[in-house]
Amino acid sequence: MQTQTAINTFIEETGSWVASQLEACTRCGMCAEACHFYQATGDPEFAPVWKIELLKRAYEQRFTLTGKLKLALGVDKPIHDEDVLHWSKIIYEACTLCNKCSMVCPMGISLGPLIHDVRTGISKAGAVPADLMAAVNKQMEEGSPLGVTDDVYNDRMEWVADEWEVELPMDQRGADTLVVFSSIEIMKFPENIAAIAKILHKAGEKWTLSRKGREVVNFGFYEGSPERTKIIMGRVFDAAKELGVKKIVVTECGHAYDALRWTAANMMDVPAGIEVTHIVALLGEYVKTGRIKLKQGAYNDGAITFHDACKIQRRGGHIQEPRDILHILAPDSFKEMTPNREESICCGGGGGVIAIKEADPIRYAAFELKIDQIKKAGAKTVAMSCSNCRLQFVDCVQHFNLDVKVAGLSQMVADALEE
Amino acid sequence: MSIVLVTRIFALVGIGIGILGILFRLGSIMNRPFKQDLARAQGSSTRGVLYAFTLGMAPWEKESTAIHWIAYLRGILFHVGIFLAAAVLIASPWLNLLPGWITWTAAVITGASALLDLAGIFMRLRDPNLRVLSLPDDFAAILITSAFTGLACATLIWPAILPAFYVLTGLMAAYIPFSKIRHCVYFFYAKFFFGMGYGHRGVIGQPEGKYAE
Ligand code: SF4
Ligand code: SF4
Repeated sequence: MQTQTAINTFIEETGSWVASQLEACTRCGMCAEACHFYQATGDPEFAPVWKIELLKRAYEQRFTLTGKLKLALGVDKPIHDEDVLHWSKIIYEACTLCNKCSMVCPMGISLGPLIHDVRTGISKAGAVPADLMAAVNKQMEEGSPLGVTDDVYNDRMEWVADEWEVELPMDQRGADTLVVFSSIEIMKFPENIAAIAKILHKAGEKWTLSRKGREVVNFGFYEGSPERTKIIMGRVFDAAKELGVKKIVVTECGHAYDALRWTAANMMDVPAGIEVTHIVALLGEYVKTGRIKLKQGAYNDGAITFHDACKIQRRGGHIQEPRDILHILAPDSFKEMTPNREESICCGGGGGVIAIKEADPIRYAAFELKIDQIKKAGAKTVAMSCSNCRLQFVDCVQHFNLDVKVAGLSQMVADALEE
Repeated sequence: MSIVLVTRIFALVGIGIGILGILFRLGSIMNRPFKQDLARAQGSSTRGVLYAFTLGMAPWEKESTAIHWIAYLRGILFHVGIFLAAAVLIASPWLNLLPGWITWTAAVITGASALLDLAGIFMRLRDPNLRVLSLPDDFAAILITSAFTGLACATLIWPAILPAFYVLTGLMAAYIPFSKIRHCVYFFYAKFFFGMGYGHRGVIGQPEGKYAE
């Protein structure tokens, strides 16, 4: 393992933005209770501020007099191999990079991005959990962590087109919009593909799929490797460029949206004139502008609630659109969970956590907070706009034997389209 | 030279060291590269910053502050006390000119603030999470700031304490760059970046959505 590489990366990552965040912390501990992993287990090591300890230590020991002094006096320890391994478990298995802690921190410290920086260092040191790394490698080699190769993609899309009788335009030059699904949708929730196709046709969108840019999921981003993140995003951007589209629509995938919409421009040359948006933003716009009409009260039987995804709502700002839609679909039965919107509780499966088998016990434990919220809202259906959250919900509903229906927002919209 | 003058000079030297130390720290941070957010904006950064420094700090805006309102209130009150103690320090040569009611009000606030600040030690020792997180600096910072507000209170009641207040001020000010008390400067940076970042993404402070309701 290359601990020194991790330390060098922490130091490189510590620009003025990061340094000012680290300097502002008062160790008040407020962020701890924001974290679902801490709440679920009470383990102080899961406190968000503790998760950035290595970054802080590297920064202090390199840049501050106090840090150097503490090191010289033996009050503080240099970062060792065992520290890197220890924190690897904490930040990959017990952090979904949901950023709820930032919303709670009285100083406004952006803990999520800082923890992502810790992941970057640990990934450079080669200490990423094996399950996650296997998925990263699979995506690098085959193009998808769930095995959606060219052939699998073609087969699945043909099957979806037949099964749901929808048209799925493929590699259409001159289309305005490139739609990129996640392999979770392709393999686990294919009905989402049909639903989104139906909506796009109804709205009269000139859209296309792409074989080259067939996977929106980005396991390099979960891992924290800038190089692999860029390569994976590059596949989508290259496809968009080749097809000459003006817009890339990320479907129900949160972290891929975070990567392509917010991170790409800060990491690589993104093709000019191509806007990246999320399907929930598009749905909101279609409804607002009347491009699609929804049956009022289509879901008015049984309380329905909405789960805010960390990367789409809290970090992506698409907080209002799903609510506008649900107020049409379920005007009498839509109930908010508490807390919600940018303070919502994460489902516990994001950030690559669901891909790590060893994290299963705490992933389930964290979901119990969600169960409590759903029960308090009295909801029978939980709608959401992220298929990674949906995967976690479906798995946990089964694990805890819950009487709750899990629904993708696009699917609900498609089913409620006015003819 | 009178004891008051000597200790006042001591305080001024301490403040000078504190300011220089903070400037040095700030300088080394500002020299580090700053990456601007190049992603296309979805909301207004200005609105986000405004929100972060105003409504965003209101107790009803955050679930965490609503739940932990005692900790929130304690934080607000002892910070008010510290600012008031700083005002007492500035006004120290002319304290005898202050009307009695102002002196007594300030004494009550700084005295209460000192006690609330001190309570932080017990909070840190009692809460298992805070116990793990706490460093010696956390306790030192509490002790020195509560001594600062406590001595401000004492000076208002017994002006003869003033030299002790000056000595403590000098020590505290010189300690600031090395302690977490420096968050008094970095708070503005972190909050500013928070408002800017989440305003840019359209999460906070925007005309539509939660904050327009
Ligand atoms: S809430 Fe903010 S200031 Fe408090 S310990 Fe966490 S990161 Fe530090
Ligand atoms: S980002 Fe989310 S999961 Fe990670 S420490 Fe913060 S609250 Fe916990």
